[in-house]
Amino acid sequence: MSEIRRTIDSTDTLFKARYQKECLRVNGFIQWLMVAQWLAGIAFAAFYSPLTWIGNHFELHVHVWASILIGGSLSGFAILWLRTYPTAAHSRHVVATTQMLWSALLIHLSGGRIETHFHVFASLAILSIYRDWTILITATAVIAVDHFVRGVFYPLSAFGIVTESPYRWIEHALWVLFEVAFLAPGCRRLRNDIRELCARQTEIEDAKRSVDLKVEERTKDLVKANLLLAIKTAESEKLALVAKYTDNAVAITDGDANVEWVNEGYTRITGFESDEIIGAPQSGFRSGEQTCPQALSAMRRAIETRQAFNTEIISYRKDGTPFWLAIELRPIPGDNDTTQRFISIQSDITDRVEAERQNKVLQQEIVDASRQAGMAEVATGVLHNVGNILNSVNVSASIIRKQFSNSALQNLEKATDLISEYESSFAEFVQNDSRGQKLPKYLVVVSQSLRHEQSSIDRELSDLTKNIEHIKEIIAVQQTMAKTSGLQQELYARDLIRDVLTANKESLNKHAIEVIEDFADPDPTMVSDKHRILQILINLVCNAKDSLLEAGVPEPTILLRTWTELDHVCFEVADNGVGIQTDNLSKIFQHGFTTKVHGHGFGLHSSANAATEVGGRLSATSAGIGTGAQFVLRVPIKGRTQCDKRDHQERDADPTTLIHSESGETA
Amino acid sequence: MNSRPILLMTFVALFSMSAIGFIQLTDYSSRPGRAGQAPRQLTSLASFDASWTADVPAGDMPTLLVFYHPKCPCTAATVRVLERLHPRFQPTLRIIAVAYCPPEQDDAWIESRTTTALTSLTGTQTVIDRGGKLSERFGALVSGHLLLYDAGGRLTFSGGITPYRGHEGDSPSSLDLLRRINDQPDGCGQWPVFGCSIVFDREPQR
Repeated sequence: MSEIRRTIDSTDTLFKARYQKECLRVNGFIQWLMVAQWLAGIAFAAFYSPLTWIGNHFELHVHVWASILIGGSLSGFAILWLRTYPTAAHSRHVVATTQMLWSALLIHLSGGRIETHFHVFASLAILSIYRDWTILITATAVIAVDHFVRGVFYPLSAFGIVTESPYRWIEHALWVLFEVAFLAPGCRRLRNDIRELCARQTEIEDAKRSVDLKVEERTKDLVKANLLLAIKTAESEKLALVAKYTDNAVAITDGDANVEWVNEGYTRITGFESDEIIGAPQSGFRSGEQTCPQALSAMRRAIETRQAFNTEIISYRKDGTPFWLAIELRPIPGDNDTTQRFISIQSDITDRVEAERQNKVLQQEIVDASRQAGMAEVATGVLHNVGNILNSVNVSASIIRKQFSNSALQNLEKATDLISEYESSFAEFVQNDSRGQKLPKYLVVVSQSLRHEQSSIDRELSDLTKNIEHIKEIIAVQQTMAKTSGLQQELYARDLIRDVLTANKESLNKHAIEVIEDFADPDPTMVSDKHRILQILINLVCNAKDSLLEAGVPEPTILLRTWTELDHVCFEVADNGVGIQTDNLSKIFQHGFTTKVHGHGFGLHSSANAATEVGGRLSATSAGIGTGAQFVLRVPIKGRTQCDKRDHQERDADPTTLIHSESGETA
Repeated sequence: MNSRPILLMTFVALFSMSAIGFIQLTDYSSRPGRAGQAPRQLTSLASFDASWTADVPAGDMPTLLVFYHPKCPCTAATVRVLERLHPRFQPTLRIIAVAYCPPEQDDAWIESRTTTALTSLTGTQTVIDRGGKLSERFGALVSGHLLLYDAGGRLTFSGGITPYRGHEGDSPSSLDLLRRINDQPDGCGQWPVFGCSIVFDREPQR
């Protein structure tokens, strides 16, 4: 509705402007006409009635004066009015009135010539140029009024006689009306035609404006599209450069993974030219006897299910040589969420796989060396314990040796020698000899001394035996830990803790370190490598002991705790010793890092590696120096997941999956 | 400076000049001239002082006397009316154009469009009225005054045949003249005359 209203307003405005322009053009013509009529009137009067005569006297005729003055004032009035109000509607009525008066004047000046009356009708035609029918009415009214006034006040001037019909002015007016009756509709029709033209022009301009707007919008869109196209083209060119010069093979396939396009890298890697591989299935992958069938099946399933797929697999070049190929297959969605294409990015990873293999060997060697080093450290601890025990053994042996060197046996031998000397006269000797009389008492004393000696040696031998038993146990444990079979067996957390405490019992007792055991109930079980776990825990307990000794706390305490966390069994070894600096937490598992005076920086590193080997991880926390430290070992309940095939590593498309856990605070 | 009052005054002045001019012009054109008393009976044409008039009896046919000033522009309207009426006159009409001529001028002075037009009418004779004596005798003091005498020499029409000064066209007076020429009714029609004065006097007619 507002659009129609606006169109109408625009049409009105355009029509008004055009009509005013037309009026101005006609005004110019009218002004020239006024001047021309004035000059013509003067010429008329000068030609027809230049002089008026009285006998043989003459003077300028009144008509000449009338043409000059009346004609001048009429034309001047009209011209001045038009110049003052050029576009006003009343100006046109002034022109109509003036023009009709000019007709009357000219008729007067021409002596009432019938021909001059045509000026009236010509003037009406001229006025119709304005295309304003109302001014024709005005003109008619002026004629009618003129005749009416003349008929009333100067009947002779109008009709030549006073007795002429008083309604003859109506006849004259009717004749004018007769013409006006034709001119007025014509004016109205012309005016309507112009208005119609304006309406059409408005519509055309509106349409043009609308088209211009659309063109402008379309142009903007095209500019944007061109800009986007340029950007895309630049990207495409760059992608083309990537596709052309990358060492990777890039293949674009249809929805069934049949090759549609390959880059030059594909030819470099596989040896197949583009035209040789177009249409090949499985994105151009060529399998062979060394190809992992599981990986191949997985790739086929991924193609069938239109899923993304990553794998590293052995493929075959055109010349039949196998090589390691990393394949990254990505579905490209089309319309209606269907996979329209696949893009397969393949890279030759033979060198990398070989390097990884060598790295694995090297890592295994490092692990073995670490293990040996750890074991050596453990062995050192064991030997230390054994040494402590051997001190006791040595003391016991010294006591026994001292006992033997100061033994009462010599006194007994003296007594027996004296008895042997007086064997024949032993009775007399006992009775008469003073020495003989003391001999019984002497023997009693020797006997008591020997009994006491026996008792002392028994006691020392008992300790010695006990200590030797300890050594035997320590060595037995050491022998147990020395076995690196990697045997996966069912283990009980409580048993493992007790084995650890047994290995460190003497040392812990010696330094009066309180051990608090906090076992989960039920006792957690796991399938893992017992010896590696023992190695880790003994090392942690030894470190805790050393930390407590270094801190010299009044109540040294070690907390041993077990619990189950999801699919892991957790062991915590916590102490209230010196603790660990926050900065060192991130380095504590590094090889060679130690805070001990006589440490080697290998124990925790070895323990961390052992934790990784069993599929778990080792972490440490401490609030800082003087706050103690907590070490937590997490061991998977179901043991370490192992890949059965060395040549196959299938991963999920999500690259965030962890395949290795380094021990540490954040590991 | 505000030019509106000046403009308004200019409009008023121009309008007033036009209005007054029209009124004056209409008044001038509507004011008839003086007319004297024409002879009621025309017995002879000898008084016209023309060679052809000596033997012509006045009563053999109707006679129309047209008194005019050859230089008067207003009389042109009278002549044009006469030209339009002439074909409708009965053929036995004698028309005598009495042309005023100043005494000091020769006969060629009367040569004008009016004289030429009048002489071209069939049966028209021109008489030079030197000094306006004939006009005065017939009471025709204004150019364009017509006198009609019937075949019996009796005056039946006296006056002008234009509706007003210098204005041609049908008028009651011209129709009356036509009727009196063709039908010869009784009485004498008296009509005002519009035109220049033939005779100069103290109160000249313009």
